[in-house]
Amino acid sequence: MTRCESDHSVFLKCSTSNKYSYLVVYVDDIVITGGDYEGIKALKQHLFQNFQTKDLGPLRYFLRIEVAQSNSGIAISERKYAFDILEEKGLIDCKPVDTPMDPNVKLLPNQGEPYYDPGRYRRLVGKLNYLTLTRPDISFPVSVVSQFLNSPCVN
Amino acid sequence: MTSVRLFIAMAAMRRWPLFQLDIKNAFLHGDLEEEIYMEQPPGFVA
Repeated sequence: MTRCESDHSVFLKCSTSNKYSYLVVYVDDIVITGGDYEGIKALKQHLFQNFQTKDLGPLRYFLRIEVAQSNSGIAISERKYAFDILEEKGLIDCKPVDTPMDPNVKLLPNQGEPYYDPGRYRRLVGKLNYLTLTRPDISFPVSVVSQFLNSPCVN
Repeated sequence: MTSVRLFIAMAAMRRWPLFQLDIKNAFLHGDLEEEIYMEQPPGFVA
């Protein structure tokens, strides 16, 4: 198995029949995929023999991303993560909107009173940033609010 | 993270299986070469 040059957490192996198996690792979590079914089987067996490994079966949850697999395709979401953000910020009862922000609003730095807890703002923006992985539709608003991480104001 | 998304997309396209494993006791698998000494922190009561 060779380590990928461009991403060091990816490993790949080519079988004699020219089929690949891929392994992605994050600390102690591993995802395996590829077209080489025999190779994947052997790889799992190898890991079981050399490490205390738990087989979690088909991929369901990895780095806060929920994965649903079916015959028609694969769906990923951060449903629980999004709900956790809403609950933590006390926004769980808020009404959903189709357009998350008015693109014509011009926000400028240092308008209005400085926000009392910049850390809270920064943590929330960080969480929203991670949410854009599965919610590209909120990418624009998140990029706009990211511009004020240095000195968040009440406006 | 981009790699994870890439492989999920590839798996969807080519109908590859996707599996997940979890290593028990992360970090404890390496062997320590050097000699290590330890002492209890001051005030430690067992």
